[in-house]
Amino acid sequence: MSLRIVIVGAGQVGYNLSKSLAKKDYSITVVDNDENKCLKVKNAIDAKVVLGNGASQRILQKIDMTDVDYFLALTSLDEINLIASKTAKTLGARKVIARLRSTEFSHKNSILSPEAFLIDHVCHPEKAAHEEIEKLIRRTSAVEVVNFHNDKITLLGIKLENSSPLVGRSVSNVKLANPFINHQTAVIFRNDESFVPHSDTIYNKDDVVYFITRTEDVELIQQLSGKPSFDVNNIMIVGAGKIGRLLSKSLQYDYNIRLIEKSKTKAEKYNPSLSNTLMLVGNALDPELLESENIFEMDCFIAATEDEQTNIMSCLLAKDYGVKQVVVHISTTNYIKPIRRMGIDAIVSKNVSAVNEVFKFIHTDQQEIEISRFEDIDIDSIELNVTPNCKYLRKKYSINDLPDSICLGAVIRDSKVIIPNSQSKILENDKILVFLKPQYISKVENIFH
Amino acid sequence: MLKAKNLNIISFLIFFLGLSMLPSSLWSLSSASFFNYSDRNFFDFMAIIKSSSITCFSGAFLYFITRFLGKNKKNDLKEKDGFIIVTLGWLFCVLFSSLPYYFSSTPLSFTNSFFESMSGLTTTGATILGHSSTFQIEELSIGILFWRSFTQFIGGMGIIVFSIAILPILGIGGVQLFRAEVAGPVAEKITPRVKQTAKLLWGIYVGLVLFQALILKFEGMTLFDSLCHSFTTIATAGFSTKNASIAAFNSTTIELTIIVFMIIAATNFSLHYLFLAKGRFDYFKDEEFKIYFYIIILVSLTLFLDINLNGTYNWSPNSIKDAIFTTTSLVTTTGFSTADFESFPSLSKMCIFFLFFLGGTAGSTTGAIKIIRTMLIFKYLSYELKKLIHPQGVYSIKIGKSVVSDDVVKNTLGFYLFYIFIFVCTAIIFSFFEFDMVTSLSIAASSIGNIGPGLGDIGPTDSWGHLPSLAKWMSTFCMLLGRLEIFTVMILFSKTFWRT
Repeated sequence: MSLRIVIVGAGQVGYNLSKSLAKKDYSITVVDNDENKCLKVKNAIDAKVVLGNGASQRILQKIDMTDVDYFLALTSLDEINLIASKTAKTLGARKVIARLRSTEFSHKNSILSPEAFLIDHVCHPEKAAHEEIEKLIRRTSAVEVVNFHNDKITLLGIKLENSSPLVGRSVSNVKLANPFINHQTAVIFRNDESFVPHSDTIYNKDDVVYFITRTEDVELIQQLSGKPSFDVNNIMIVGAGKIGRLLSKSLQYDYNIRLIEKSKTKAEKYNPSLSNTLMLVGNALDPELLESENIFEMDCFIAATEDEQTNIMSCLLAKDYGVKQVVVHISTTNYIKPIRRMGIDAIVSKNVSAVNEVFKFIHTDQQEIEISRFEDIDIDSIELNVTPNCKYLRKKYSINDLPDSICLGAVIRDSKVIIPNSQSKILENDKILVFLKPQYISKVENIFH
Repeated sequence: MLKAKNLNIISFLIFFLGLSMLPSSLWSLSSASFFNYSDRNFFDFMAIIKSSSITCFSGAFLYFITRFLGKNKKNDLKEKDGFIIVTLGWLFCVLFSSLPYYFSSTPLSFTNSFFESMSGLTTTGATILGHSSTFQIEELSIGILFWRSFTQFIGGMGIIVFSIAILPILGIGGVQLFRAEVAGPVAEKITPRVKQTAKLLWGIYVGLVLFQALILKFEGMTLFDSLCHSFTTIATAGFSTKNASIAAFNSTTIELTIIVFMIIAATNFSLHYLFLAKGRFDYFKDEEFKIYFYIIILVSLTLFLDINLNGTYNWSPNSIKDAIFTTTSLVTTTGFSTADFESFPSLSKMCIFFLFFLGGTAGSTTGAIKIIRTMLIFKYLSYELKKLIHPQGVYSIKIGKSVVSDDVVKNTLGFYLFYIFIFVCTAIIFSFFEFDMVTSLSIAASSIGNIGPGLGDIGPTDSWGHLPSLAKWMSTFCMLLGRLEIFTVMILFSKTFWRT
C-alpha cells in the first residue's frame, strides 16, 4: 500500500520534496494558490494538483484527509502552515509535518507550542541550514559534517586534493597503515555518483570521501587526508536573510564577522540585534567593495542570499581572491553538479536539508528503525538494534561476511562507540550504524533484525 | 528520436498483444477436433497460436535488442517520447493483431486484415466482411470472431493505459502517455498516481464488461455472443458476431440492455469511480453528462417523430426503440444497428450525420470530438460576443464551477479546426474514388469519428469491403487519427518535432 502524502506549498522546498517523493511509489497531492507553480508541478511530477489556498477549509475538505498518511505544510508563511496543519489534523490526517521559519514557536517559553496546532513534527529548514554551515565553520576544510548518536559519532566529508597522502592507496591499506586512527570509509562520491567502497577501492584525486569516526578523532582524520583544519578569525557572510542572521548571531562572539546586505532598510532593521557584527550595505558582486573590506584576509566566505545565482557568482569571486573556505547556499538542486566542479568547498541547501529531514521522519515512522537520508549524495544511513535472534548471530557471521554494498560505520555498546575493524564482534543488543544505498535497507534488516 | 528506451516500451506492448491472443485460441480449441487440419476450428487454433507466437517472439526480440542498446541510459521518459511511443506502439499493435485474420481458414488479404484490425483496435467497428469479395461474418470460425471482438476490448480503454497500469514507467512520460490515449481535452487523473488511475480505469472497464456479459447471458444469448457483444459495447466499438448486428437477436430486452450499457460506456469513467468507490451519484451534477443525456433524449425524440410522421413506421412500438437505439449507438460512437437508418426520412438522416461528429463524454471509451469540446466552443463563442458588447468586461469560460484555462480553450479550438480540416480533405480524397457525395462525406466522418457504419454505400446494412484498397488505407489512417485524438499522430509530421 503506497503512502498518501499531501504537500501544501509548491515553492522551492515543496517542489523539490514532491519531486523526490514522486520517485518512490507514493501518491502525492500538491496544493498551491499560484497558478504558475501548479502548472509547473503538473508538467513535471506525477502528482495530483489542487489550485487554492492551503489554509482554506474549503480547499482542504476537497481532499479525503482520513486517507492521508502525511500532511506536509511547507509554504514560506508560518501562519498558513500552522492553520493548514491544524485543519488537516482535525480533518483526520494521520501525521502532520510543518515547516516554520520562525523559531519562537519551538522556544521553551513559547505560549503557543507546535503541539497546540496539532503538529507532529516541526522542521526549520533555515535553522537546519544554519547549523550545517556552523558545523563546517567550526570544522574547517570539511565538505560536510553530520553528527550521530548525541554527537559522539561524526560523518566527515573531505575532498581529496592532488596533494593528499591518501590518493592512490586503497581503503584497507590506509586502515592498516594507521591502526590508531579508527575510521571507516562510508561513502565515496566520484564523477557525480556515490558508492559504498569496499576494502580494495582506491582513493582518487577529486573524490569526496565520507569518513565515519569518533567525534574526538575528527582532527586526526583531517590530518590523515592532508586537509588539516586551520584557524579561522575573519568570516564574511553575504545576505542578511534568515540564514545569514542566524549565523551572525551564533558566530559573532567567536569570530570577526562582516555581513553584507544589499538592501539598506533590511540592514538597518537587523543591525541593532547583531551588535558584534559589522553590517555592510552593498553588492557582494562588487569587487571594489570586497577589496576594500579586505577579502584577501578572510578565512571563510559564506554566500547565503535568497538568490542562488548571486551566491554562486560571489563564491567564485571569493575563491579567486584566495579565501580558504567557501560555503555556498543554494535553493534549487539545478546547479549542484557544476558547482561541485567549480571548486567551491561546501554546498549547503535549506531545501536539501528539509527534504532529508522529512524523509528521515517518514522513513523512521514507517519502518520503526531510524533512517536518515542524504538526498544530495543519494545515500541512506540506518541505526538498528541487533536483536538476539537475528540471522547474523544465528549463523555466527563475522564482520567480513557482511556484503560489500553496505558499510558498517559504528557499533554502540553500552553507550560506548566502537569503530569496527575486521576483528570486531557484533553482540546482541548492540546498536549499529550502517551506510548504504536505499535499495539495500531490507537486506540489512534481514541480517540484523 | 527513436530512442532504445521508447522501443523497449513498445516491445512490451507487442508482447502483451501476443499474450492476449491466447483466450481466442482457447475458444477455437473448445470446439476443435484435435490434429485434424481439415477441421476449421483446429486450423484456426493453429493460426492464432502461430500469430501469437510470432507476436510474442517479435516483442521479446525487440525487448532484448533495445535493452542491450539502451543500457546505462537514463530511465525517465520525456514528454516528447510519449507521442512516438503511442503512435508507433499502436501501429505495431494493429499490424500484429491483423495476423490471425491473415492466417485463418477464412484468409483475408493483407489490406483487408489490416483494415479489420485497425477498425477493431481503434474501436471503429467498420468491417470489410459481409461483402461478396470477402466472407460473411457468420462464415468466420468462433476463435477468429472472438479475436475480432477482443481487439475492440483491448483498444477501448487502450493498450497504453493497460501497460501504464502494470509496467514500471517512471517520470512524467507516463502521464504524457496517459494523456495521449485517454479521450478528452484534459485527461484528469482520478488519483494522484497515473499508475493507480490506469489500474482503476481498467478495473471499472473490465467490471462493466463482465456485468453486461452476465446480464446478456441471462437474457438468452450464448456465453460466446454475450462476451463478444459486451466487449464491443463497453468499448463503444460496434463489431457484432452477426451480419445483421443486434437486429439478428430480435429481442427487445437485449436491445434495451445494450442501450443502457452504451450510455454507461460513453460516460466519463471518473463519474463511475465516484459512484462505485465513494457512493456519490454525481452524474447530474456534471455539466457535460447533463448535456450528453439531454442530447440523447432530444435526438431520439426528433428521430421518433420524424420516422413516424414522414417515414414508414406508422407509430408502431418498434419506432420508439429504433429511434433510441440508433441515437445512442451513434452518439456513443458504437455503431450497432437494429434498423436500417438509410431508409429514414431526410431530417433524421441529417441528424444522424451530425451525430457522427459529436461523440460521448471525455474520459470514456467514446470516439469523435467529445461533447466537452463542443461545449467549450459554444462557451467561447458566447464569450467573444459578450466581449464585443462590453469590451472592458471580465469574463471567464467555466465548465461546472471551475475556470477553463486559456491554453485548454486554444487547444480545443485547434483540435476542432484540425478535425474539420482533416474531415474535409479526406472527404474530397474519397470522392476521387467515384463515390457519391453522401458516401464520401460519411466515410470520412465515420472513420475519423470511430463510428463504424455511415450513410450511402457504407450504411448499416452495407460493408466497407467494396472500397478500393487505397481508400481502405486512407480510412485506416483516419481511424488512427481519430482514436489518438489527432495531435498525437499529427505531431509526428511536424518538422520541429524531429529536430533535436
